[in-house]
Amino acid sequence: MTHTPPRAPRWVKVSAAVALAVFLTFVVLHLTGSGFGGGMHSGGH
Amino acid sequence: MPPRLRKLALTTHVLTSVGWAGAVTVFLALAVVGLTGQDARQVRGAYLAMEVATWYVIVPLAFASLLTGIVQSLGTSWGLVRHYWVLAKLLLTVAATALLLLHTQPVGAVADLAATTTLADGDLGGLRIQLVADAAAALAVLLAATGLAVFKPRGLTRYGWRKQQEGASRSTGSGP
Repeated sequence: MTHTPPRAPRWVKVSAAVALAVFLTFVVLHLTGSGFGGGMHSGGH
Repeated sequence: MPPRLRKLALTTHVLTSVGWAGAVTVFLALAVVGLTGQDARQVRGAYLAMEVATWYVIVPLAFASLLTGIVQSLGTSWGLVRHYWVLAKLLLTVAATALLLLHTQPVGAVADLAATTTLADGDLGGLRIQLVADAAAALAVLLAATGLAVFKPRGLTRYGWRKQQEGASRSTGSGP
């Protein structure tokens, strides 16, 4: 019986890296105002 | 959880999750029609239908899927944070639900304008593109969650491993 916890599988590490990259891209786009929501206040309100 | 109740919970979870993905697919089609459609009545109808679909179909199904998924995992040996695939699916569902709630505002804004005026090509252009992008992203997330549920990739979390060790030592200790 092993007494050391297993390491996270490769698919977990790759998915976490992809999720982090998507999240950072999303944050940067919103902070720089390059997101899709630019027309929010262009009419109707 | 008794077997019958477990099957009922699983059936409800599958139905709500697949229904959610189907509703988002319809939402994506309506968003594309709203963005690219040439017929003003069709465009107006698409945005009005999107608001109704969001509040009466997508949001309830999202919460139902999240809730039944939590019940399903806590009521079985899979647990909520014992296996990486369950944890990843939970995080994806929570993120998708949170983003859905955040993006009900643009849906309402476009539907409100579509209800009172005839939308020209440039009206709320950014928001209308955002609706298409949001729906496509949501669909990708839901497909990923479905893939995780079907393939169940291996991998125990530290907590899951600890629980497994405890279970193994308990069964060894209780032996003759």
